[in-house]
Formats: sequence, C-alpha cells, structure tokens
Amino acid sequence: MIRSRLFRKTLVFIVLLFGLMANASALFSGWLLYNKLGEEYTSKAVAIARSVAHSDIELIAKRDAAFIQSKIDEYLDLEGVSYVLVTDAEGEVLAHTFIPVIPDAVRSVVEQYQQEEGLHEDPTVVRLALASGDVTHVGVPVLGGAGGYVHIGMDRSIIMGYIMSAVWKQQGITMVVFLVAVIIALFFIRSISQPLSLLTEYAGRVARHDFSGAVPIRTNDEVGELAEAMQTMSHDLATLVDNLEASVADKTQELRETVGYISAIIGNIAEGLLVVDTEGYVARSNVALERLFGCRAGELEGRSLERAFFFPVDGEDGEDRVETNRPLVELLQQTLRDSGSTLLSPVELECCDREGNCFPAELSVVRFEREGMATIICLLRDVTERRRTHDLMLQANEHLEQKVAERTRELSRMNSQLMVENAERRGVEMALRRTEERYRSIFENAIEGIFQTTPEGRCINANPALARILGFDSPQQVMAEVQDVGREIYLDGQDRGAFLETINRDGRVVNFEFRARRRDANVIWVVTNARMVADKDGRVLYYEGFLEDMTLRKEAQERLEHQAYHDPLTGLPNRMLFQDHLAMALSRQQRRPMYAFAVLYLDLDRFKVINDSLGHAVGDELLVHVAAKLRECVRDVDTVARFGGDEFGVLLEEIAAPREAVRVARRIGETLGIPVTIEGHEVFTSASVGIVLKTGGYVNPQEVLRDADTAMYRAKELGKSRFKVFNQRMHEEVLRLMALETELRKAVERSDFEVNYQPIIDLESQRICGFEALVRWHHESLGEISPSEFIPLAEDSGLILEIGDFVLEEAVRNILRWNTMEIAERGTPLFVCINISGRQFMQPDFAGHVESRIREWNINTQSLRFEITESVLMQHMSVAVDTVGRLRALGVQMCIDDFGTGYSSLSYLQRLPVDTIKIDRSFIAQLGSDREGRSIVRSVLTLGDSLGLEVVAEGVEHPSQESLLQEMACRYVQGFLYSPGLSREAVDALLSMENPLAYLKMSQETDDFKVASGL
Amino acid sequence: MFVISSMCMYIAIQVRYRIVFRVEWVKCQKTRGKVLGAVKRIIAACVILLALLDGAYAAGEQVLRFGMSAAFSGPSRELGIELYRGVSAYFDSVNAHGGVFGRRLELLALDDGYNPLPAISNTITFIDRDDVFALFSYVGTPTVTRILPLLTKYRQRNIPLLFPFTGAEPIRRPPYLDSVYNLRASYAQETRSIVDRCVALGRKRVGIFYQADAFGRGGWAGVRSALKEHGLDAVQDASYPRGSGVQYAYTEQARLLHEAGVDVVVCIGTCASSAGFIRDFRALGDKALVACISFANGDELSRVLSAMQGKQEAELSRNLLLMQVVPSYEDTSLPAVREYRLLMGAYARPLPPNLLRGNYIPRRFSAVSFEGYLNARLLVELLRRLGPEPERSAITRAMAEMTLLDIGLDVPVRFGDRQQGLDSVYFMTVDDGAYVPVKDWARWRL
Repeated sequence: MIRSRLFRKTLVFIVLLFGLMANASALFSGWLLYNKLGEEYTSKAVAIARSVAHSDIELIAKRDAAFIQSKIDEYLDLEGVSYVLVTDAEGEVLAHTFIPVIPDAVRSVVEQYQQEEGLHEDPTVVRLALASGDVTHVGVPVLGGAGGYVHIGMDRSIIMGYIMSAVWKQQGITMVVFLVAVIIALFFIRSISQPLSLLTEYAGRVARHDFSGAVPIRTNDEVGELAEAMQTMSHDLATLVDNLEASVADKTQELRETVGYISAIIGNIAEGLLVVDTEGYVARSNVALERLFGCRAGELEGRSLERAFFFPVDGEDGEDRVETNRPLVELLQQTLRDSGSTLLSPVELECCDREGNCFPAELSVVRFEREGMATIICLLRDVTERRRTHDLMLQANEHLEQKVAERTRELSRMNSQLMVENAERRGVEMALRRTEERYRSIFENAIEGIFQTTPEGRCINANPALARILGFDSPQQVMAEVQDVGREIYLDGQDRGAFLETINRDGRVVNFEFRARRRDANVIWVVTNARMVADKDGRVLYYEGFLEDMTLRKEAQERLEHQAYHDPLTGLPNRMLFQDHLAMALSRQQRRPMYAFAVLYLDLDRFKVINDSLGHAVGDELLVHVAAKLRECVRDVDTVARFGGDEFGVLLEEIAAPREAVRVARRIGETLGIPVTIEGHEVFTSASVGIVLKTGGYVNPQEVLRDADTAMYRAKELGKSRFKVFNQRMHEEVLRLMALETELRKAVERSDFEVNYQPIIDLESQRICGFEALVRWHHESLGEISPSEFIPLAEDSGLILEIGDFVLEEAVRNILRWNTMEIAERGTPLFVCINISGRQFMQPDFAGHVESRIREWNINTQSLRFEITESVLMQHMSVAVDTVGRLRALGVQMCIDDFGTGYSSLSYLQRLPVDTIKIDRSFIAQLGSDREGRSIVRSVLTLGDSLGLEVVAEGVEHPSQESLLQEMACRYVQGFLYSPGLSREAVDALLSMENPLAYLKMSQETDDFKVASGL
Repeated sequence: MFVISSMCMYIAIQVRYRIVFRVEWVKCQKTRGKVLGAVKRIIAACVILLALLDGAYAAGEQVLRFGMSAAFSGPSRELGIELYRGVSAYFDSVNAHGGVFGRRLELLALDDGYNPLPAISNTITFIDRDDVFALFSYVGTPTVTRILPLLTKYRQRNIPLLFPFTGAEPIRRPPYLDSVYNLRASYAQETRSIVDRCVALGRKRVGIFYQADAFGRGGWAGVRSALKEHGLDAVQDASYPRGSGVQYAYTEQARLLHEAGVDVVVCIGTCASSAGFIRDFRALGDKALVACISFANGDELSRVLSAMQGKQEAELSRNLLLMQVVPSYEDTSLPAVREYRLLMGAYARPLPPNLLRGNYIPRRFSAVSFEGYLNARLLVELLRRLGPEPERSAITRAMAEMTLLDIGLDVPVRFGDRQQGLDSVYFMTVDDGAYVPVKDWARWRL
C-alpha cells in the first residue's frame, strides 16, 4: 500500500511511540483507580459497618437474630457489599448473609478479633481471598467490642472490574483514535506519495521518448503544478521531435521526388541532353541524344568529346574515327574553356549520326561553374521537321484570303432583303394598337374595380374604379404601392387565405365578400368575382377579376339584424339576445367551474301608474332613462336587456363573489331611486330586483330567468324597491306551487270542489236574504286547502275559468232549487253572491259567456249577484265599466267586494253601475275598538245610502259588532256570528226550518248546528 | 342523604334482579333437563353477582375492610391463595348471614410475591387508599418484619396487624405489642418442640437448613437456643437464598449437612425449597430425620415430594417430621374442623382475577386454608366483642379479654396479656403416602 519509502520509517516510529504512550497512560490510570477505589470501598465498608453497629446496638444487644438478619439483608443491596456478619461479644455469630455457610477464612478472621484484649473503637481492615473472589474485610466493634462485632466484606472483584473496564474503555478509545489517525495518515501519505511515484514513472516514460501518456494529477499544490509543468514540457518536446522527424522525412521525400522527376525529364525530353565535365568528358547523356546520334544507350557517357562524337569508320568501336561532328565538339570545347560566358544563344549547326546521316540541329549551351569546376549542359534538337512546317503555313494563308472575299459579297445581298420585310411588319402593328385602345376604354371606365394580381399579391393591373374604391389616386399608385394585397388590402389575412384556396381549387371565385382596408385606413365591405389565369402548362400567371364596394348593403343588413335582437326604444338587447348571452354564460360555466355569473331581473315599480297618469311618451322616456342608468351601473362585459314593458334583465359576467352582484343590485336600486325630470314632470321610480346567484345547477337560460322572475316577485311582495336573492326556499315554494297546480288541475278535471254557502242576514226583516257562494277544495291527502292559497294559483294557471264555471253552475242550480222552496214557503226570493276573480272578469267576453250560461239554465237573474274586488275593478276600469254594464243589463246585480281596501275613489263608484258594496271585514273587525274604523264604516254606510246602494257588512263575528252595525243602520250582515259557510245539505236543512235565522242564532250560541240539524 | 339514596338504589336493583331471576327461573322450568345444569350455573353466577352488587351498593359505612398482602405468585403462592380461600369462605358465610352488626366484611387482597418491597407498598395502599380496618392474614416473615415500621408510622391511626401467617419472633416482641396479634404458635415454639422431641429420641446431632433471611435466621436462632438448653449446638448449618424454588440445586447444602453426619435436619424454609433440599439430601443416601416447620406447609410438601418420587429412586417421603400449628383438618372430632369443611364446601370461591396468575387448582381442604378459616373466625369474634361501632383503640382491651376462648379447637385461645393465641404444635408425617399425625415415634429412636 505504501509504495513511498519516504514515509515508511516515520509512520512506524509514530505507531510505536503512540502504542507505548497509550499503554503507559492506561497502566498509570489503572493504578490510580485501583488505589482510589480500594480506599473508597474500605471507607464505605467501615461506614456501613459503623451504621449497623450504631443503629442496631439494641438489637445486637438483645441478640434478636431475625431482626438483625432483616437489617443486614438490606445492606446486601448496596453495591460492593459481599457479606455482612454480626457476632456478639463472645464471638458467637448472631446473623450473617453467607450461603450456605461462613467460609473458613472469614471465620478465622472473626475469631482473631475475639482474641484482642480490651475495648477499642477502630475498625480493622483485612484483605481476604475467598472462593468467590478477593474481599476487603472490615470489622467494626459495637460498643468498643462489648456489644459484639459487625463484619463487612467488600467485593474487590468489583474494584478490579471497574479498573479493567476503565482500562479497556481507555484502551478502546485510544485504539479507535489511533486507528483513525493511522488511516488519516495513510490517506495523507498516499495523497503525497502516489502523485510523486506517478510523476517518477511519467518522467521515466518521457526519457524513453514515450509521450503518449498523461499524469492523472489534478491537485492544487506544488506536485500538481510540477506535474502540469512536466506535462507541458513533454508535450512541447513531443511536438518538436515530431516536427523535426516530419520535416526530415518531407525533405527526403521531396529530394527523392525531385531526383526522380529530373531523371524522368532528362529521360523523356525530346531534345538531346549532354553534360560535359571540366575535363571534356561526357558526364551524362540522355536517350534522345543517343537516338539522335544513333548510339547505344550509355555508350557516350565517360568518353571524351572527341571519342564520343568522332564516330569510328567501320562502325565498330575502334581508334580510327572520322571527324564528323567537329563543329559541335569545337563549340563545346570552346565553351568549356571560355570562362566568361554562361549561356549561349541557340546555335544552328549541322550534325551527323553514327551512320553518317546529317541533320540540322539547334544547340543551347549553358556553362556553369561550381567550386572552380566548369560544367557544360547542352541541349540539342533536330530541326528538320520545323523547317518543313514553315513552308506548309505559307501555302495555307494564301488559300484563306480567297474564301473571305467570296463571303462578303453574299452578305450584302441578304441585307437588302431584310429591309423590305421590316416595312411590312410595322403596318400590322399599327392595326393591333387601335384594337387594344378600344378595350382599354372599357377597362378604364368600368364602375367595378378591375384588377390583376399575382399569386404573391402584387397588383399588376388596376383600373381607376379599383383605385377609387380602395382610396388611391390612380391605378398607377395602386400598382406601385400595393405589394401584397393579402396584407395591405385584406383586413383579415384569413380572408385572403380563403380566397386563394377557393380560386386555386375551382379556378374562380364568385361573390367573395371580405372587409378591405382603404388607403385612408377606413374599412369597407367589398365583394369580388375573380378567375385564375394560367399559361399552357397550368402555371398560375395571375388572378383577374372585379371588385365592388358593398359597405352600404352590408350596413343595412347589420342594422336589420340589430333590430331583430334589440329593443328599438332603448337600444338594449331584447330577451332573445339576453337568453343567447345567458346560454353562452351557462356553457362557459360548464367549461370553467371557476367562472361565476349572476342574473338580475328588474321590474319597475309603479311604471303602470306613471304610464297611465303621465302618458306613454313619459313612460317611454323613463324607460330610456332607466336603460341608460342600468348601463351605467354595470361593466361593459355585462349584458343589460329589456324584456319588454318595464322588465329588464342584467347578466353580470365573471363575478368574483356573490356580494358583487348584490352590490350591483344595491347600486341599481340607489341610482333608480333618484327622481328624474321628464317633460317637466318629476318622476319617481324604483325597481324590484330578483337575483339568481347560484347558477351552478341550471341547464337552460329559461330556468334561470324563471327563478330570477320568482325572486323578483318575492321582492315585490315584500314591498317595492327591494331586491331578493333567489334561494332554495323560493325554489321549494315554486316546486310546491307547481305540485299544487298539478293537483289543482286534477281537481278541476275531477270537479273535486265543493261550494259552501254563507248566509247573508237581513237585519231589518230578521231573515236570511241570500248566500255568498264560497268554493272549497278538499284534497284527499293534503286536506282542506285554503282558497287564499289555491285561487291565486288558479288565476295564474287559468284554471280559474273552469273553477268559476263550476261555482257558477253549482250556485245557480242550488239557488234555483232553494228559491222554489223559499218562495213557496215565505214568498221572498233568495240571492246568491258569486265571487268573480280578476282573471275571470277580464276574460274576453265574460258578459257574453255569462249570458249564454243564464240562457242555458234559464234562471231568474235577479237572484244572481257577482262580487268583484275593488282592486280588480280599479285595474281594468275601462273594461270593467263596459262588462259591468252588460252584466247589469242581463239583470245580474253587481257587488263590490272588499270595499275600502283599494284606492277607492268616489268617482269610480259613480262611473261603475254597481248595486251593492261590501264593507271589508278588516273595518268590521276594528268596529269595537277603533273610532276610526267605526267612522269609516259609518261613512261607507252613508255613502251607500246616498248612492242608493245596498251595503253588506261582512266578517261580523261578535254580537257587539252587530249591535253597533244596527245602530248605524246597516241592513245586511254576514259572518261567523250567524253562520260559517254551509254545505248544500246543511242549507237544505236550514231552509226547511220554520225560522232559519232563529235557528242559526241558537245553534251558534250552542255551537252545535250540525248536531241540532241532524247532519 | 347518601345513605338513603344508596339504599333506594340497592332496593331497586334487588327488586329488578329478583324479577330477572324469577323470569329466568320460569324459563328454566320450561327448558329440558339437559340445560338445567348450565342454567343452574348461570343462576349461581347471578347470585354471586347479586351478592357483589349488594356489596358494592351497600358500601359506605356498612363495610369493614381488611387488607391482606400475601404471596399470590412465585414459589410460595399456595400459602397466600389457600389462606385467602379459608378467610374468604368464612367471611362469605358471615356476610351471608347479615355480617357483623349489619356490617359486611370485605377482604382486600394484594400480591407481594413474598418480597418485602411490594408488601410495603401494598400496606400503604391498604391504609391510605382503602382505609382498611385492620391488616389481616399477611404471609411471610421477611415481608411482615419489614412492614412493622409502617405500623409505627401510622401509630395515630392504630392500624393493627392481625394474625399474620408467620411464627417470627420480632412480631411477638416489643415495640409492636399493641399493634400485632398472632393466632399461631411461634417458630421458636415449633423449633423448640422439634429439638426437644429429637433430643428425647436420642438424635443430638442437629443440622439446620435455613433460608438466608430474617425468617431463616429466626428459626436458626430458635433451634440453636433450644439446643443450648440441652447443652448442645448445631453441628452444621447451611443457608439458601430466598426465592429459590424446587428446581434450585441444593447439593452444596445437602453435602455440608451430610458430611457433618447429622441425625436431624431442621428445615427453616418454604415448601418448594424444603422439597428441593430433601430431594438433594436424600440423593446422597442420607436417612437422617428431616423436620420442616409449619411455613413449609407440610400438607403441600408431602404432595410435592410424592410427585417427585416418581422420578427418583430414594424414598423422599420417609423420615419426615412436618410441623403444623393447627390440628389436622381430618380430625372431624373438632367442631372447628367440621364447620371449616362445611364452609369450604359451601362458600369457597375462586381467586379474584387480579390475583390469579397462571394455572392453580385449589385444594379442597388444606392446613393453610384451615388456618385462614381460624384467623377469620377469631377476627369475627374480635369484631363481635368490639360492638356495633368498632373502634381500633378498643382492640387491645378486647384482645386482652380473650383469656379462654373456645373456637372449636382442642385447646382454647388464650390472649390475655400475650400477643399470641395458640401455643400448640402438631407433628405430622407421611406414612404410606398419606399425610397423617405422627403416631409411632419409636421408629426414629436412635
């Protein structure tokens, strides 16, 4: 592991030193501990023994073995106490804790004590070796030995145990520390020595010219830096060596190539090469030279010039030579000698080959000197061929000049022919231009814009109309400025896309409408028809077509659409558009659960009054005002709609919290509450608002509106100028009413109703003069249902008509029967009062309906009275006057019910031809207690008297009321004081009595009519 | 107010339970005979439940509680359990007859496992929490000697310790004379009787095998002082650690005593350790007489030995002298024995669940439960003498007046100025496997 010899000795030395120190310190501390604990335990034993001796003197003296035993047993629990033994003064053992017997060593020590003379108080300490281990035996005399002795043995093995455990722990900790230190040292050394040895190894490799490796040392210390420096150095070295070797190799190669190259040149040049050395010997010759002179290869080299070029006579290589090439040889020798000239201009001279054939040769000679030695390089060329070629060229030139002269003549002839053709073509062109001008006039003067555009969108042709439509000054401007119609003309790039798609697909576009941007940035609606123009190969050349401005047409169309969806008076959306928006809001809510909206349903209070009193113009003005105010109260995203009449709807979109809607409702209430002056009238108005906040459960807009309407009605019921949030209870109420309506419908089908008759008493004649017919509905499971509950429902659902008919028929039939009975009996007819509800009364041709019924049943209309509430009559005054008149004409008497509760005015009493008025029960109820009530009743009675009307007081329940009414001369009364509504059978029974009224009074007093009547 | 309301509740519950009871009974009549047994058991359970409920609802001034700390677990648990059964049988019988002056007796028992510390904490619980009238029928010398200082601590409340199951000397001596009363003879009396008898039989080499604690030391001292009167001393003694059961190896003790050549070994130990010692002693082939004092519960010891006999060659039951401080429960000539046997049949009930650890099959009759019965009988006698409003301070006088009280034994109970009522010891042995009084002494004469 430790490869470094550097640290080995240090490490071994440190380990040995450390071990020595650890052992020495452990031994020393063990020795200290042993001494200290030994003393400690001895003193502990003495203390325990003394405590036994002193506290239990009495027991020891009494020799109470059991008690002593029970005492000393307790000491055994103390740590280190091995045994306790108590003897008396005579040395007899009183108690001990040995099991099974007292060891002999202890016994002998105990006996030794006994032999000591005299009294003494000092404890005796002995060290004993027992079978169970070493003990420190301490004997303490009781009463100086006169009372006995207490002996205590302290277990020394515990001390040894402590020491050993302490030493072991110390050694253990030391060992752990030591091991950790050694490991750290090893790592430390390793971290130093390893890089060093790596470096050494690397240096060895570099020395062997092995630059391939790298040193994996990345530490940030000196070794790291050294390694890095070495590495850099070796890299540089490697590069240098490599470069050197490469350049040597390159040069060698280059040289070799040059040599080869030159050899090739020399070998292959057409000229003969001759190199002559200083001595005048041929140093070198090439193949061409040898061929020129007809020599064998290499024959010339190494010979003197003479020997080389003075060829032997017989052709053999002998000494007899002909001086055939003397000029050549002399020239060369001349040059060789002549040290001044280096390059001689080519010289032509005659040479002969070995065979004696002579040929002209051109000679170039170069002389150059190297280290004082002159060398001649001579190039020798056979020029026989060149001379012949020169002659041939002279001949060819002559022939060419002849040909040129011939061609020039022909050309001038063709020129004159062309000029004639040109004149003809100009005539045709003139005709064409005239035709084109005709078409251009159409193009220029067309009303529609005509264009040609490239597929890329550049306008290549335009007529003035197009320029005008698009707001340009001239077609040229269009063509110059419009580079891309898709971007510059089309308002919506998608339109251009659609246009291109259609035209590329179909080849044409018909009635393509889009919005275009004029040059002045105005937007216009245009319609275009265009076709595609392509070349023979089907490549699109351009599109051409017409463009028409249709903005006006479009605006008219939009205005129509707006009118269909908006209220013409206020310009607000109408119910249809509102429902549309609401449906969108609902679907948005389904997509995004976090989206919340609210719907407000407004109804102006007292609008009808304003309309009626101030006229429709003011009403319309008010509606416009309200619409404007409503728009002010909401944000732009919200929808305010008028549903017709005085009903408005508000759709609050994207509300964060329900209270936002409530806040808007409150704001609307406040804003509308401010009086407004219209046409000089100060108009006060207010609105009742129904709000639907929890829109989660709805599917269709009608439901939301229905519930908002319900809430609005509830708000109205609670008093005007309020708002009410639709809640679950209303919903349940609606459900209940719907269920009740269903039940009511069934009841109508089955005629589940019953008509009761409450007697009306004529106080003057003290008899029953008539009955009021009261409809009762007894539902089989719901029990008795109050008319106040089902009558409004019946009115709303229209069932009142059928119920009314039923009551009418029932009452009429019975009154007929009773009248025959009554007239026979008493000679005076009875009448029956039938309540006519507003809906019933307002049904078209109510009077006609009644008339036909009367005809049908053939009754005496004198016994028929219709009761109509004051408020119904008030609401429909004009119709009422007419209908009442017709009914009276039939002979039916008219009675105003609940007189005094509405805004009665005397004028309408005058206008309405009624016969009877009924004082409302509320006034009668106040008779006894209230002076005002009394004066109202009195004044009504006076009024009736003065107008000649019969007055009936209804709701008489108390004899005191009766007496008061009698005082006020009220003739007709009706109420529980006399009788409640009675069934048909009960009335039958009643009328068959001798004196029905007396009977009634009697039975009311005993409250036992039914029993008495036998029913 | 509380008394009245609790009485009303008590009556109401009684009435209700009686109705239930009657309905159950009527139903029973209709069912088949086979089911009758089970139904009877249910009824019995109902009766016990009623009794318990009665007890609970009649609480308050109407109950006298007694605290009993004893070994209900460990090697000596038979002592605690049997003593409890004897006491509770008599208590139940008294309660069934209306209690003492209308007061019900309630025995609260806690387990100390024959160890001093739990005994101390149990005692404190009885005194502080349960407000017992007296501590009663404690078991064991090391436990009882350690709680004695508590009596001094609670001196103001005069809590007496009545009739503990131990013969230790300290509790018969000052300073606890006014607070501790014993019924049984002391260990000193037992050992003296053994020594006198053995010396008379010529057996003078006496060895002592004793428990290394106050109990053992008391007996050890008793034997030695008895021997001293004959001018003798024990030839060898050997102790063993407290809590050692039958399985403990007593070979060292047996070897020491055997090698000393003893004629008699007096065992001052528990039943389990005495049995273990006898096994190891007899294994050495020693036929010396082995005498065990009453705490060893000779009745049980004889059974343990005969159970071990099957495993071993030596006849373990021979040459045994087993001491009792009450007469044999087989001696039906005694009225107390007759009543005890009757009550154990009628009222003996299982241990309350808080004390029951492990499986224990109660004995029908035993010397220990007989002693429990006698303790309870004497206690009731004491309560009767204290009158309808018992005061603890009157106990000393009442006990002193018991000079010649017949509780149906062969000897009268005599307290007077003493702390102990009976002095008789009874020698028992095992003859042919039967636990009987010693008749033939001659066979042991040397």
